[in-house]
Order: sequence, then C-alpha cells, then structure tokens
Amino acid sequence: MSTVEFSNVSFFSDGLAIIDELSFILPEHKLTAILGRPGSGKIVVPKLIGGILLPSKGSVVIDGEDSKTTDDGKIKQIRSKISYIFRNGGLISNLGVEENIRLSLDFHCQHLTESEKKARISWFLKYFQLPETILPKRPANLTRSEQKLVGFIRGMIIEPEVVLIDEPLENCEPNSQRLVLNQIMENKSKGLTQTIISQSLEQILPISDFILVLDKGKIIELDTRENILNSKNTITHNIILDYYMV
Amino acid sequence: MINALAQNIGESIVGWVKLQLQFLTFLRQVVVEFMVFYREKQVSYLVLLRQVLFTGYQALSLIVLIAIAIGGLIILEGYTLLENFGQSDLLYGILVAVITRELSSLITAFIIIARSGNAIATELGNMRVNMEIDALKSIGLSPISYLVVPRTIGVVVSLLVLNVYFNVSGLFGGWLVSSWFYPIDFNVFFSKLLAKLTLTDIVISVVKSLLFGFFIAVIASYQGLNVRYATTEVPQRTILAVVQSITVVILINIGIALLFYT
Amino acid sequence: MKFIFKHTERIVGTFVIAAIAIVVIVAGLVAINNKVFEKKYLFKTRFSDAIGLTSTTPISFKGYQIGRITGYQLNEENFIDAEFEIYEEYRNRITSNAVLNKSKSLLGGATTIELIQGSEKGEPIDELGVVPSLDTPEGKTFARKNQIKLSGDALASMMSNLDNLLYKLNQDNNPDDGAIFRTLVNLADATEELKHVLSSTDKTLSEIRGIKSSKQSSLARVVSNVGKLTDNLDQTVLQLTQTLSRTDSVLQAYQNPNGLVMRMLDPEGKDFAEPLSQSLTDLSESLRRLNGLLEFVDSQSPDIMVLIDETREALKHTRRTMQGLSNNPFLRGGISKEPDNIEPNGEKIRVKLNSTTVN
Repeated sequence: MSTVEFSNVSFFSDGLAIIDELSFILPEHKLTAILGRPGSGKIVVPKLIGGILLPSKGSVVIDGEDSKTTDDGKIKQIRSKISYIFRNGGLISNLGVEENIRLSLDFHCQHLTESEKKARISWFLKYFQLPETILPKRPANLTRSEQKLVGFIRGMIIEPEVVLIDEPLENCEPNSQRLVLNQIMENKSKGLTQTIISQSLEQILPISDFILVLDKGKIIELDTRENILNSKNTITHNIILDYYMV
Repeated sequence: MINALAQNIGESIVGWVKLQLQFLTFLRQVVVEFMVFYREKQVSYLVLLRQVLFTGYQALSLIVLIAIAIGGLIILEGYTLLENFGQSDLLYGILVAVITRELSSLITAFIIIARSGNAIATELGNMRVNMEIDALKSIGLSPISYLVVPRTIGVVVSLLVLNVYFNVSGLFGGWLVSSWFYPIDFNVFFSKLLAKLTLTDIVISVVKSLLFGFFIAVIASYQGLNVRYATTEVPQRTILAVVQSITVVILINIGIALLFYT
Repeated sequence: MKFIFKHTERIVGTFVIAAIAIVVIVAGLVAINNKVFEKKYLFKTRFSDAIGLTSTTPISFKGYQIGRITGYQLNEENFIDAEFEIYEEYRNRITSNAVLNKSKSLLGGATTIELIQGSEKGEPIDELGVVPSLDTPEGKTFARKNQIKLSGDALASMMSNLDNLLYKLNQDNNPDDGAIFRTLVNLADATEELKHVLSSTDKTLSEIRGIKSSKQSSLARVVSNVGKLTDNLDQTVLQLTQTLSRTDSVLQAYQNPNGLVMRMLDPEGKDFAEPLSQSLTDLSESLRRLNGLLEFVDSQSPDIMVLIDETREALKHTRRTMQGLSNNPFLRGGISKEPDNIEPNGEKIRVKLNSTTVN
C-alpha cells in the first residue's frame, strides 16, 4: 500500500507561498478530510500528491519515490497508484466518454486484454447507473452529474491505492451523490487511502477517519475526527464553525 | 528619467531573453518526447490520426485549388511572354523554381498556420483553462507527449503530404488549365519538366516541409499551453502563435534558399 | 463528419500512401533522368576563368548532355582547375583529340560546355585524364594541331565575322583582302592624289595671283603683256567684226547677178574686183595668222579663253564671208586653200614675246 509523505514542502505561485514547509504523513488506508479557509492551501496539497503540481521546495515522497522524478517509468508507476477525481470530472473535451475512460485504462492497464477492459468499463457503468449509450458521447453532451460520475469511473477503473477527491458532491443530483458516497465507502472497506475536500462537512465528516486542518499554508492539526472535533485549538474551532455556518 | 528608461529597456531585454529560454526549454522537451513517442503510441495514436485528418485531408481541396490556379497562371503568363522571345522552354525551369522550390512548401505552410496553427493554440489554451491538462498530468500522461508530439507529427506529415499534392496539382493541373489556351503536348510537357527537376529540388522541398511543420506545431502548442488564468488569454495566444509561425517560416525559407542556392 | 471519424484510419492511410507513392515515382524518374544510378567517370580540365561555371554546369556533345562539372577551384597559376564526370554511356567520347569549349550564350547568358572532337579518330583517355579547354593557350594550340573546328552558335559566329571585318576596315594597303578593300584602297589613293593636285593648283593660283600683283619678275611682265595683248586682240576682233559686217553687206549686193553697178563700174574686173579679191585673200591670210596667234595665247593663259572663243566665232564668220566672196561669180577665183600651219607664226609670236619680256 502506498505511503504519502510530505517533507518540508513549500509551494509558491506568483511569488506567494501557498503552502509553507509542510511536513506530515498521510494516514494510510484512511479517509482524511482536508479542511481550511480559502487560500489555506487545501487544494494544493492533493494536487501535489496527484502530480498535478510539483513542490517548489521540499519533496513529496510516494512509496519511497520523489514525485519530482523525471524517470518516465517511475512517474508511470507512481501515477498508476494514485487517482485524482476532479470536481467537474476533468474529462478531455474532444474525446468521447469511452475514450476518456480508456485514457487511464490503456495507459495503466496494458496487461488487460481488450475484452477485460470492456468488461471493466461495463461493470463501472452499471455501478454508477450509466447507460452504455453514454460511451460515444462527448463531455459537452453530458450533465454535470454524469461528467462527475464518468470522472469517478476513469479514476477508479485502474484500481488505485490512493484516491484524491475534490468536491465529490458539488453540483450532483441526490442519486449521484448517493452513488458517489457508496463508492467512497467501498473504497474505505477496501482499505484505500483517500483524501476529500468538500464544503458539505455534514456529509463528509461522518465518513472521515482523519481531518487535516490547514490555515495560511500551514498545518494546524492532523488528527482523528473525534480529536479534531473536540480540539481546543481556536483556529480549528473557527474553521469548523465556518463550515457549519455555510 | 534616463535611469528609468534604461531600467525599462533592461527589463524588456531580460524579459525577452527569459521568454526565448522558456521556449527553448519547451522545444528541448518536445524533441526528447519525440524520441519516446513510440512508447505511448497506443494512447497518442488516435490524436495523431485525427490531427492528420484535420490538418491534411480536410485542407486538400483548398490546396489543390490554389495550386491549380497558380500553376495555370504561371504557364499562361509565362508562355505568352517567353514565346515572344522564342524561349518557351524556359517555362519549365520557372515552373520548377517557383512551384517546387518555393511556393509549394510556403503556401502550404501558410494555409496550415491559418487552419491548424490557429486551432492547436486555441484547443490547448482551452484545455488549460478547463483543467484538462491537469487531468492528463494526474493520469500520468505528459501533456507534451500526449498532446504536443502527436500534433507536431500530424502537422509535419500533413505538410509533407500536402506539399506533394500542391506540386502535382500545380504542375500538371496548371498544364490542364493552360491547355485550353495554349495546347502543349503532355508527353513533351512532362519530359521537359522532368529534365528541369532535380533530386536537390525534391530534397529541399521535403526539408522545408519538415521544418515548417515542426515549428508551426511547436509554436502553436507552446502558446496554447502558456495560457494561465482565463479564457480571454486564449485568442491573444492564438494570434501570437500565428504571427510567430509566419515569421519563423519565412526566416527558415530565406535561410534554406541562402544555403542551397547561393 | 461521423463517416470521416469512423473511417479515419482508412482515409488518412490512403491520403498518406498516395503521396508517398507519388514522391517515390517522381524521385525515381528524376533519378533515372539525371542518371543518378549510372556509373560516371571523372576527368579533369582547366579553364582560364570560372565565369558562368557552377558545380552542375552540363557538358554536352552534339547536343546531348554527356556529363557535368562536379567541382572547380582556382590554382596557383590563376587558372581554374575543374573536375567533371561523364556518364558511362558516353565515356568513349572522351578521346585523346577532344577539347572542351566553354561559351556563354549572348541571349540567355547561360554558360555551356561542349565537347569537340578532332577530325582524326582518337583513342579514349583514362579516367582522371586531362581534357584541354579552348580558352587556355594549350587548348588553342591543341585545337590547331588536331584541326578542331568550332560549331559555335550563329550569333557568336556573326559577331566574330563582324569583328574581323571591322579589323580589316581599319587596316590600310590590303587590296588583296577582297573587292571592298581594293575599292577602298584605290579610292583612298585617288583622293590623296586629287588632294595633292588640288593643293598644287591652289599653290600655283596663289603664286599667279602673287605674280600678277608684282611688277618685277619676267613672268609678271609676260602676264601683263598677255593682258595688253588680249586687250589689243579684243579691239582688233571688234574691228574685224565691223569690217566683216560691211563686207557681208557688200557681198550680198554682189550676189545679185543682175548687179548693173558692178558691170558699169568695172566691166573687166581689173580696177575693182581684182584688187578687192586680192585684198580679201590677204585678209584671209591675216585672219589665219591671227587665229594661230590666238590659239597660242589660248594655250598660255586660261584667262582669255572666253575672248578667244568669241574671236574664233568671229573668224568662222569671216571665213564664211570670205568663201562667199570668193565664190561670187564676179570675183570667182576658186576655192580658197586650207589655212597654213600656225606653228611657225606661233613660234614667231613666242619669240617676240620672249624678246620683249625677258629684258
């Protein structure tokens, strides 16, 4: 199982430090909710893990490999274990649904035969209650819920060890939200390491195992849900309060 | 005031140099990814096919039309003029020099800049804004390897192929058009044309197409991927891509002419 | 559009393969045409200059391209050492008596190199052998020795002939070069002589004018006396003319056979007719002598030509009158004799002139 470790990681954008010397180890096999105010760096942390961004300083080590490696083989190996689920699905607009799904499937699962790949796609479509007719459609022809679900399928179809989810329930109709939550719970039961960023804390908090509280690019607290909810830390308290005030 | 002016000038120069270095870094990455493209072919193959289809096949009718028009015009005008001096045989040398050596690769490049250079910059810019580039990175696909390289190969192949069709249409289509006014026996036309055509002309035409195609695609991709914040940047980058591509194409053309024909 | 995407592979494949096929075919044809795959033999030559030379200048023989220049460079002796290749098919045309002729077309400006063989059959030379060029001294010597004739283009030949013509026109004393030059030489000589004559005449006339104004020299006196003489002659002629006119009217009267006056005045003809006849005879004699004098004077001075002509006319008239008188039935004395030779009289006059002027 993949371990994710931040070691004095800083990230700068336009001269500003978005996160500043972060050091922590992501709890394995657990669901960690990342909380923080806007600009705290809560979106940057999963992106650094997901390889979308590279640290300006320090290193993000995944299974003993630095994410800044330039070795294509190692990059592929790291990425095959991690899936990033975008808030709007992150689908490639000039590819159909099937092509989008196959983007990661063909890249990471070359050991599978064509029929196995097709079977997997079919299974996930059924799981997320999407018709086969959706396969040739372009993302522009899908609803936001459908786009999110297809994004989920693309992420989950490669059987990752780490799943990074950005706003899983945003702009989702209730049925889709239920399906998403089911998937998250299933991931938990499989022992996957997950992170979630979400505005709807009341839905996420009950299923979270750990909470990472960030403020102004620094870690305030990283602890179990119970400990965080009972925390005496004022900033943590205020942040959680902000969530409930929305 | 002079200090401020000097500072401005200095900053401009430094900024310009940084931009060029950035482009050179990007260029280096593209060249490196070119070498390993075969590894990702199962993923990028579709992109490549689609690029050739859009850039090459769909521009074919326009290329053929322009080539026939130019070839016919050269033969009509040239024959009328040269016949007065009894030097109509010079026409074949003119055809080869104008169409094969110069116009075929140049006009094809301009058409591709207008159609595909524009489209590539726009597409990649929008992908950047819609976080599709991030999605590729998250999957582990290098955007250069997945987006830029197949597009570059597609544009290069398209330009080479369109160049061939331009030459064929220009030379023989031109003969066809001019036959209405000045009938020239095809066998005579073909044999005299062949006598004027050399392997050097063909090689130079191919080299030009390769270089033009490469730089058009790389410049367009670079500008598209450099979109940072908003969709309003996309048209700005597109215009920049077109202008820079035209400039580079012309400079390469002059360079090759100086190298081979002086 | 769906059709296109569905058959993307097929469409793109056809599109690309057709282009590749065209390129391969054309490149093959061009290679065959340019004899890329044919074996070539290298030879050397030397030119006096590299004007118009390129690394692909073709070499032709009787209108066929048999090879091309492959390279050239300037050597230490300021000549151009060039290498050229000949296609295998024409290799045997490079013989020991062949030369290269580099020429530039006046119309197109293109440089052509032509292989020319001598009149005698020659043996093919070895590869890397030297073939002389006509624009070097060695080449020219070689061409003369091997009787090599240039075909040349019409315009160049015409220019050469024109050049030769102009050269000969600028020469002198070359009447043997043709009718034109003979005519020109003769004309030149004639005009020179005429010029000389005119110059002498002009000089003489100037001297005469000078002489006329001078009173010292004997020639001046001769000219002056001749002037006076012609004046006297003029008067004499005038008198003669008047006399003849009267005589003519008398004779008209005498012609009338019914002239009773004559029968009445001189029935026997001794008192009037015979003396008159004698007078007329003497007059005739005088006139003959005068004619001789005038002719002598005429030969000495052109200035009195007109006067002499008038005198002659008068003399003619006088002679006719005299003949009429002689043939008159009253005075018939027979046909007058032919006038005597004037020379002795002329001699006398000349002597007299000399004696009066020499002093």
